[in-house]
Amino acid sequence: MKDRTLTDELRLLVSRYGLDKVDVELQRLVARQPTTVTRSKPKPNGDVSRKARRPRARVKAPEYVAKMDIEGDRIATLLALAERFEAKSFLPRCADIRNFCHIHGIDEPASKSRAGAIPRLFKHLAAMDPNDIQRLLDENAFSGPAELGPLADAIREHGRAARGPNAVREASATFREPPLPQDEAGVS
Amino acid sequence: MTSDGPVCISVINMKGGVGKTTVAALLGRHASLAGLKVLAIDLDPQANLSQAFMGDQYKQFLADKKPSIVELFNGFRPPTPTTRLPTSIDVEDVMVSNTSLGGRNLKLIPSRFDFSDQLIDAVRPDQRVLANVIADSSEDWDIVLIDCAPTESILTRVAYQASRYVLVPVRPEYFATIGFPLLKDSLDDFKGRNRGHTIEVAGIVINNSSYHYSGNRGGPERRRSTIEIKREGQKNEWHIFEQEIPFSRGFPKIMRGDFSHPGDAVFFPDFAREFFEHIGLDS
Repeated sequence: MKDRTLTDELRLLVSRYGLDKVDVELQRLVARQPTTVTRSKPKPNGDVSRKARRPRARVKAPEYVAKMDIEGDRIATLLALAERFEAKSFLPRCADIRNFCHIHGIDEPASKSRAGAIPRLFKHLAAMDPNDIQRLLDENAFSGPAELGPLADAIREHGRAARGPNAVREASATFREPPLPQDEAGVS
Repeated sequence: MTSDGPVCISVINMKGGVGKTTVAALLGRHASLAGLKVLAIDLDPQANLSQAFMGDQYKQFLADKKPSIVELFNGFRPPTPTTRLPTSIDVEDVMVSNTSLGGRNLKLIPSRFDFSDQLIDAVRPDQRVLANVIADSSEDWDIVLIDCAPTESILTRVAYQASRYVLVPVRPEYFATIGFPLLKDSLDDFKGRNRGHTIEVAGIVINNSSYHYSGNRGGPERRRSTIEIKREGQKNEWHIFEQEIPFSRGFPKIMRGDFSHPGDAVFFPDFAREFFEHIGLDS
């Protein structure tokens, strides 16, 4: 809720001295008594200032990794994983992150958002064996639920390569019906 | 981690659609997340276990013509534009790790649909190939899980040769026990031909044991089928696990690699714990 008295008094001051003068004076007050003038903490009645309500700018995974203190040879791999994380082709959903944490014995991040999980996740990845990180990247592992269509296409494609495109036709061409017994073949 | 040493188990039923692959995959996942070293082997040319563990990676695996159980059986990798000669193959070359379903301690020997072609074309496939491969790397594993095809073939014998136990998933429905006599005959025949082998049925697990969507846990048909399963199990002196695997839409989701809202699939570890304890594994 707005503090109407404060608003009215501020209006009065602005009308008497002008907005610029009031603003300058307020800035001076802020400089002298920052703790009493700024209100970043919620009020006792649960109201929060506009500054506190404003969402923090989301840290993206590649930015986070770029700021980490990591040796040269693994930074490129981690950055590539971070890019995939942002593109949602690595751990695309919160459930995938939970599963990854479960498998790797990491405490699940308290945050329920993917962004909130970035620090814990990438700290763990940075500590992993470089070969294991590279394998995660090469094998496109932990990319979320599988789709049946592309999998079926891959099997079909592999079948064509392994058996040849005319496998069924060739198999039928070489197949010969076994001869019927004489009585069924109508031979007397 | 193991009280009685490493162990190899085949998940098998001569009837299809009973959940063999799901049970094998989730036992592998559970064991690996519990810290056991797991080798999962896909012995079914349909390659569903491979697809479950690898998800979208399976497409790349096919595209890259990476070696699979087919090459392990053949004993070599065929020439490629770079190698130009057949090259020897090691089990390590075939294994896939880092799967999103299996965890860090699980490795998979994947299958391909042309596995059956290779076996048809082979003059006399050696049913001991897999047992030899496992024997060579036995110290690397706490548990080896083999997902079998639902029909009796040379691959069934391959699985038996390597296994100490078989686990039999079954669904409580009219055709449930059809596979039991076939399995019994098959095991008896195998043991008759391999006197030194001590393969045993670890037990029967009732899968999809409740039908939530029907509102009455499957009704009288489910009860009747469950009684028949238990009766047939006792006839063969096969153990029946107390923990049943409940019906859950979460299972097919997990097989797809979707870990959101697993539903009653979260109860799978209850069975897994009972199973591992029964065969002397501490998970």
